[in-house]
Formats: sequence, C-alpha cells, structure tokens
Amino acid sequence: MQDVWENRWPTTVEDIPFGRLSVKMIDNFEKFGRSSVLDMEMLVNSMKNISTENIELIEDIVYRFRHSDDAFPVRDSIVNAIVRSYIDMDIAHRLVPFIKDKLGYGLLLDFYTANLLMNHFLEKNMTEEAAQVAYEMMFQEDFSHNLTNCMSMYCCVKRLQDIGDVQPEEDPSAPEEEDEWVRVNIVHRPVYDDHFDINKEHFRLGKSLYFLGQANVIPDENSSRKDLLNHSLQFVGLGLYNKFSKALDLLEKWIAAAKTDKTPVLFHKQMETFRNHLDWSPVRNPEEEELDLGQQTVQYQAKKLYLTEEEKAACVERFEKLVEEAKSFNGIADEDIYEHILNNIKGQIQNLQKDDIGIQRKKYQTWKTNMVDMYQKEMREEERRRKQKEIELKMAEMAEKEELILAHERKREILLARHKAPREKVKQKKEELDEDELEERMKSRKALIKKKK
Amino acid sequence: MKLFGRHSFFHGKSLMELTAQLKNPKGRVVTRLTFERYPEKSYYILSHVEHGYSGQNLTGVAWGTKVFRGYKYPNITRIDAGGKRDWRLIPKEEEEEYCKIDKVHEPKFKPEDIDTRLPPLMEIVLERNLKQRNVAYEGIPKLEGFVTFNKDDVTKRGVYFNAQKSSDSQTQTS
Repeated sequence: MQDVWENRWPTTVEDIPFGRLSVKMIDNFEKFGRSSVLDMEMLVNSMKNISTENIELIEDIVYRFRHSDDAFPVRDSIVNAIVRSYIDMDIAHRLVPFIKDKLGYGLLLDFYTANLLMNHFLEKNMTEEAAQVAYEMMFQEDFSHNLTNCMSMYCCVKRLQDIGDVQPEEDPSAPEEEDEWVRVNIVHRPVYDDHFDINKEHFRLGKSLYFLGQANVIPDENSSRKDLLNHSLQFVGLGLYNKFSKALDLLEKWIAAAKTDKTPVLFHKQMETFRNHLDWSPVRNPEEEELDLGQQTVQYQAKKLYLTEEEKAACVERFEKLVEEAKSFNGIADEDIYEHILNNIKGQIQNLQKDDIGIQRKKYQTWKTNMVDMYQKEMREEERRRKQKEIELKMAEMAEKEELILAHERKREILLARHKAPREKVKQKKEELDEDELEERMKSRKALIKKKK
Repeated sequence: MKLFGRHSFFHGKSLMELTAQLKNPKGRVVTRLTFERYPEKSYYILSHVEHGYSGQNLTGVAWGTKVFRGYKYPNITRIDAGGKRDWRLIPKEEEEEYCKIDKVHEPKFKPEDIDTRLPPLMEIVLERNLKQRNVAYEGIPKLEGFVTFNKDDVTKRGVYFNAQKSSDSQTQTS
C-alpha cells in the first residue's frame, strides 16, 4: 500500500511547497473568506516532516476551511491524507480532540481511515484513543462495514476491561459564582440530545457496545452461543449507559425464550458489572425547583434523564427477581469471555484485511484522476477570467479614445452638461478656538459695535 | 454567567447542525418539535443536504420526502426551515416504530361548499366595466373568474385557492 500512497499525487498537476501554499491560503481566507478545494488538497498532500509551528498552522487552516463554503461535502481524500500524514509523523494523538469536534474541524472518517487509525493506536497500546475513534464511528450509526465493526468491537472490549469495574467520577458541582447577568436578545434553550452531546466516557462505551452487540459482530457455529455473547455485551452496554429499564425488558424477553431450552442467558461477570453500575448510578431529586432558562446548561438538561430514588429501587428489585429466575434453570454461565472474544475478532480481521486493501487501492487511483480533472477545469476557468479582464481593459481604453475623438462634435452637449452638473457644497468647518482666542474675538466685535454706535 | 432576555419559542437543534455531524444523512428521519401539536405523525425522510456558511452561521437547504399529518406527499420537497432550532434526529432503532402511520388527516372542505360570490360593490363595478368594454358575460361575475381550485393537485392539499395573477382574469368567463 505504501507505494500507492507515495504516488498519490499526479505528476501533471503542480506541486507547490508547503510553506508558500499555507501563507497564500491564509491570505485567501482573510480577503475572500474562502479558498478552493484544490488548494486544500495540494496542501494536505505536501505535508511531510513538518515542525511544530507548522502543525498548528495546518490545524488553523483546517478550521478555517471547514468554516467556508467549499468544505461541503466532506472529501474523503482530504481526511485520509491528513490522518495518514499525522500517523507518519507520529503525532496521531493530537488528532483525537479534532475528530471529536465535528462541527469545528469536520474530520468525518470513512471506514478505511478509521481502521488505519484504530490499528495504529492498538499497536502502540493507546486503548483510550482507539476507543474514542470507535465511539465516533458509532455516532454515525452505520454498521455496514465488517472490518470497522470488528475493530471497534476490539477497542471497546479492551476499554471495558480497563474501565468496566471502576466507579465513574461524580458530576462536578457548579462553582458558586457572583451573579453576572448578561443581557441577550433571545435566550436559547440548551438541548441535550442523547446522542451527539454525550460527554461521559462510560456512557459512550455502553452505547457503542449495545449497538455493536446488535450488529452481531461475533460469529460462532453454535447459534445459541453466538446469541449468548452478543446478548451479554448488549446487557453490559446498557448498564454502563444507565438505561436500566430497557436492559431489564430485554432480559425478560431472553429469559422467556431460553426457559424452554434451558440454555444460558448471561455470564456472571457481565451481571456483576451491571449490578455495580446500577448501584453507582447518579440520582436526581424530583422535587427540585426548575431554574430560569438563563441559568440552565446542557449538563442541567442531561441530569433530567437520571433516575429518581424510587425508580432506582424498583429497578434493583426487578433485576434481583430476574436473576433468581435465570439461576433457577442454570441460565447464568461462569466463564471469562473477553479473551475468547478478542481472539475470535483477531482471526476475523486477518480474513477481511485483503478485501479492504484492494478497495482502497482503487480509491487512490480514482482520486488521482479526479485531481487531474479538477486541475484542468480550474486552469480553464482562470484563463477565461484572465481573458475577460483583458477585454474589459481594452473596452475602457477604446471608450476613452472615442470620447476624445468625438469631443469636437459634442462641444455643445459638454458645455450644457457642465452647467447642469451638481456642484460640491463646500462646508465651512467650525473653528475650534481656545478661550483666549474667543475673548479676543469678542473684544474685537464689541469694539466694532461701539464704533457703529 | 447568567443570561436574561426574551425566551425563544423553539427548543431543539437546527437541521444544519445535525446533518453537518453526519457523514451520510441520506435516509435519516427527522422531525420538527412543533409537529407534536398534531395527533397524526409528521416527519421528513432526508435525501440530500447542501450546507454553506454565511459569516459565522451555518446555513443550507435540504431535500426530502414529506409526511405531514399522516399523508405522504409524492414528490421530493425542499426544506427551507433548516435554520430554525426546532429539529430532532430520530435514531435508527426507533425509525420503524416512528414511521408507522395510524391516522391520516383529511382537510375539511369541499370545493362545492366554497362561497364564490364577490362583494356587492365589486359586482356592480365589474358589470359596468365589462359593459363598457363590450365583453360578453353570462350571469353575475363570480370568484371563479379570478381564482382556480384544482382538486387533483396534491401539492395544494389543505390550501384553498391558487390565485391567478395574470391580467386576463377579468375577461375570463366561468
């Protein structure tokens, strides 16, 4: 793949050095508010071995490009080039906060770049960053690509092993500040949609585990065992995500289906983590007064989704009942599944790699031809603009010459026009005088008045 | 920091904000929170979104199939209200349940029930004008000469009249 990557820029198109291009682009952004897509592609493909100042320059340019008209729709070639050059320069950890901020930087990863990134982070044992990438892919709710599903499942399970049994931190209490009231035209209501606005990591982990469990990533010849693994991951995911009623509804369904066959429904470890998170889940006070709209924040809206104490107690009761029911027919198995899942996924990944690489090779070639077409189009348009300017200049010159030549015949009209033309009113400026000068003026005036008398 | 001022009427997010964070907005279901005042289901299924920036504000236009109060419009409509902070994205799990249509709202009028008489002074003036210009007409001039209502036009569902703005309206006879 490396040879295709290094020859990705077509030779017929100009290759401008990085420093000059970046300065020109920032100029364009400040003058016109936009810089063309071709400039961005050129810039991003000339990133090799750059110093730290220039890295910040690139990040600034990406931000400004995203806030211009040309950035939509997001081009896969640009994102791929940025990610790949960051990986080559060993600064991929800097990318993670930019990938999280989709509105500001717009690095929406497609499947291949996500796989690359996750692979890079896992090789270096940076499980936290790898999991962040997996969460971003979950937000798109697109589980059609098998390799990405496998890789994100791998990252999430590894992260579960680290975080699953650790009590999450409590919400930071709002610091008491002085009352700074700010006047605004319209006070917008802060919105917490339960998807893009999630901040807590264990919520994101839980949600991605739930979705990946539904996508049936883990195959197995024995279908009931496959269901077992996927169901238990879904259950743990919902526990981490604090959607306990939903999880218990699903458990009821599985128990009802498994009672007749007496097959296991859950694993012991997952049940324990669910119980722990049930105990640790935060609680809200239903009798609290609602704050003014001006004082509300997104966190405040998020807290409205927590359980009350009564609901929590009801969930705990229901959970214990269902667990006893499952234990009555040996529904809870006692196995350590994480290692089994990881090995299973590794085998799958090795099978699916080759197809992915083949598809990406073709993509690089199509991007190359697209660049050539775009470049030729822009050159043609520039020539057209240049010719148009020349023609306009020539027309202006000719109009001047014509005026001079025909001036004698239009003498009378010119004189009339001169009379009728509006004259500029000359405004008299008010003189600013000091006190002494004022006194002198008043004295001279008084002297005049006296003289007249 | 505490804000005070006029409270906003909307309490949601703008469509452009939501779709800018999605790589593939095609096929996603989206509703407006003001549609919750109707008992029937109304939503849009997105097909295409174009974004742009005007200054610091994210603007744009979307296209999608419209389902309003249970009735599904046949063609793809343009959504211009994407900038209003009134929208909600529906997760893919709940799409099936949400898109099931139970009831359909029927607009409560028939074209026969419309009163097409003109105001009395206008009738008198019209008759006089038409006589002066020697234009032939039958009976009393009525609204049908000015406006047309096409029952079969589905995009005008719920809209009563399609007013003609051409200058020939006064000479047309019913």
